[in-house]
Amino acid sequence: MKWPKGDFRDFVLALSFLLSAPTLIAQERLNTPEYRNTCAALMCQCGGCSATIYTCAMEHCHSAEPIREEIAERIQKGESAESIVKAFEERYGLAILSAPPTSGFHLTAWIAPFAVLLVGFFFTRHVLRSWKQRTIPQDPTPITPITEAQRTRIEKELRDISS
Amino acid sequence: MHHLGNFALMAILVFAAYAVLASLLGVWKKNARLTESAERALLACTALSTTACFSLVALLLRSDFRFEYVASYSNRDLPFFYKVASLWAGNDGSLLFWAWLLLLFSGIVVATNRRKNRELMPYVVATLGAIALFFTYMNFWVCNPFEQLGVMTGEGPQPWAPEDGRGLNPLLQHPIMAIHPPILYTGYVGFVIPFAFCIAALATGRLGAEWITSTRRWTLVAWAFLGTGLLLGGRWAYVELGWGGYWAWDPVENAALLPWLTSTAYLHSVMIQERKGMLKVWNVSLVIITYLLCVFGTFLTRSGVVSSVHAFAESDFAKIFLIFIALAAGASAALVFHRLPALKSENELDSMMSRESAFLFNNLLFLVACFAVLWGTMYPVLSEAIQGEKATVGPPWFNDVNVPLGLGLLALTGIGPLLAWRKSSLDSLRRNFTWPLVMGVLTGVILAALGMRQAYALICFALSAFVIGTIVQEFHKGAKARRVHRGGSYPGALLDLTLVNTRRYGGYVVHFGIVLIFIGVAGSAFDTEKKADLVAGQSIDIRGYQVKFLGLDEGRTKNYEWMSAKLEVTKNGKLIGTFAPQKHFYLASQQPTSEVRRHATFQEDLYMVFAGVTDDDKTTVQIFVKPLVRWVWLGAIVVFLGTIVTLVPAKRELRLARKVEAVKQSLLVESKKKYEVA
Repeated sequence: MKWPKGDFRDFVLALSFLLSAPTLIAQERLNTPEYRNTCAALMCQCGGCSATIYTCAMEHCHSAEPIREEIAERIQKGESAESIVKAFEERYGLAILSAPPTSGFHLTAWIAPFAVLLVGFFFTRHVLRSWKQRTIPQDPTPITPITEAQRTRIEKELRDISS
Repeated sequence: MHHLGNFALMAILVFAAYAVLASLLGVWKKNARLTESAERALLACTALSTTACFSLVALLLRSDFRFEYVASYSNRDLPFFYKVASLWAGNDGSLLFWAWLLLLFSGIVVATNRRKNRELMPYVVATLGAIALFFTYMNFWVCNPFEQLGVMTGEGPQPWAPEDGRGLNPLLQHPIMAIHPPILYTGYVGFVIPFAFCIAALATGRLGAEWITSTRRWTLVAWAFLGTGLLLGGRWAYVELGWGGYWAWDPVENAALLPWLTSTAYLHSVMIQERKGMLKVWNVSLVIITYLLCVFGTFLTRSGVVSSVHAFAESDFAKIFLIFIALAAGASAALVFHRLPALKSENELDSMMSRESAFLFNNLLFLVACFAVLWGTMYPVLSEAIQGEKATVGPPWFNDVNVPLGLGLLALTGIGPLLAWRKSSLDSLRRNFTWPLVMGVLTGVILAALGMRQAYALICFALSAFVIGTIVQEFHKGAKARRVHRGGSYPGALLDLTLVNTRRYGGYVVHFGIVLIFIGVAGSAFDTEKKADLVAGQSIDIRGYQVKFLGLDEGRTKNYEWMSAKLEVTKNGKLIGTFAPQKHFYLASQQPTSEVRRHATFQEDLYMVFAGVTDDDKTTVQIFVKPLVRWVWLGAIVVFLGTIVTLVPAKRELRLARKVEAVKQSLLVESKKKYEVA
């Protein structure tokens, strides 16, 4: 049997493609951990959503969509996540990063909460220790012992309240 | 109608100013009639504020587009429900609504305190009046919702009205979004009452438990509403925004989280003051900080400061708001400083190994979490001001910083109830910790053996089991003891136990709800998603589900056009159902929105988004499998129910109140008799 040639062969191929289309595996978009992490490391620059490139859900977003496509393309070419993020930072500036860098002045963004936690911990411990060492002056009024009748009455009333 | 609204606002300015002056003058001159007239003036403000609010609602319902606010936030075809919701859709209207809630709560406080807290009330009225004065000033002069539209003609400016309004933001046209802002605002504004009583206590020097007892329910209600508002916001984001999440660390969300964190710290630390007369400075500071954060949150979300420091510098609204916050903070700090000697602790700490210590560390973590959220929210502004270049602080930073703090708080939720007040002996520690620890460790070991490698999620599940162990043990021990003393069935003993001490056991129910939320959040570590461009008949396989695209459908309502992607879902070959996630295109605002569809179980949510149509006519569908999300919403319901339990007066309190009333009556009868004899 001879394989059809020319226009006829193209027609048969196209027909078989069309007929089998519904059973084809869906054309899934890239979704590797590397792709997700890179998208999550960058903020959408549309100016309104304050979402990351990964979470921006706006249809045909003029910022997120092309960036996503570029990230997918670069990852498929074998580029590392760090170098992709760096490239976008050079293009858009610091504002595109979803977290401040961990160097220079911006290190303070990362350190400050834990520094406050540390200072707070030692301060709380100091306060607790000082409270423990402190003695509240006792009331100098001498204590008059209560009578048995008073004790019985108090106990009865406490029982009434708690029962 | 707008004349009535503007007149009401003007009248509030007069009456609120009178309430402030008459209260303070009444205290100074010891004139009860003046202070009472101040209370009546505040009640009049409540009525006037209601009038102003209803005037704007009437304009919205009549679609009177002569008014800028009505034209900006509604349109003719907007359903009735959303026309009313437009009241809080924009800055001017929501500020009017805010002021109305403030004056409504003020009215309730005045009405319910006619015979009690008489020494505190003049200062309470003065504080509430001053705050109402500020908000009404803003509403009348800076952002007036009754402003008319106009055009310039040869004869000067003339009134003008467009044919139709721009409509309500489509994202807000959702039943949750219609109730989320009022619930959140009730929380925000509700904290004004504890604040006013706290200022009154500081001003009068009556710094005992009186002001705390009087505001306990207000604090709890405000806290519950703020928390519910936050979670409803999360639920709305989940079902409406279509990105598959419920919390994005957006400045608006963060603004509401800040006072929730400090108020939760207060709800714990106040117990130490009630029991031991300690932490008085701390508690007044927490109440003041919580209220100031509520106002700061309002400032943050409306001033534009987060988007740019320059926007802030150009905004009159922001400057005036900041001046008010500074004045309120300054005056409060001065009062605290003035009363420092009277705010000293009445007791010493018996042991570091006590519930008091646990509460203090719990407060530390809440405040550090609050600082972290505030720091992250304001860092872009700070970096822009100092470095000249704006750094963004997004979800990765907030998650990295807050997850460890959250886990620390979860651990303390389990540890705190196991420690005794004053001092825990080694024996009691061993007795109390054994079972909860066994549960926690066992859970961790089993999950690790099953292959779970996500460290935070593993720790979270282990800690959750530990806290549940604590809660179950506390209920069980209490019910067992109750049965020994009073007999009866086990469920009856559990119910009785809860009713005798609603605050303690309601608190445990709240803790249980929080654990459920943590479990739900930890589930996000196992999210999966797929996005594909499909033609009819094609399908996506994702974690045992097969989602088959059947075709597109479209239609139109008066308000929007819609298009849906019909999806048939099977799991392991068994049909689950057909779902149709939609895209809406709103006609008035010309904006699209997503309407996601979910197949939700306690195990996981199958979350389906119709993401659009590609240039080559393929349908883009995004499918997420999100484990345990339902537990977040279930946890929210449990927290709410637990809060209701804590609000129910305990049997013990009721009996005590009845006894006090009986003693009062007998004393009254006795003194009457003496008077008659005399």
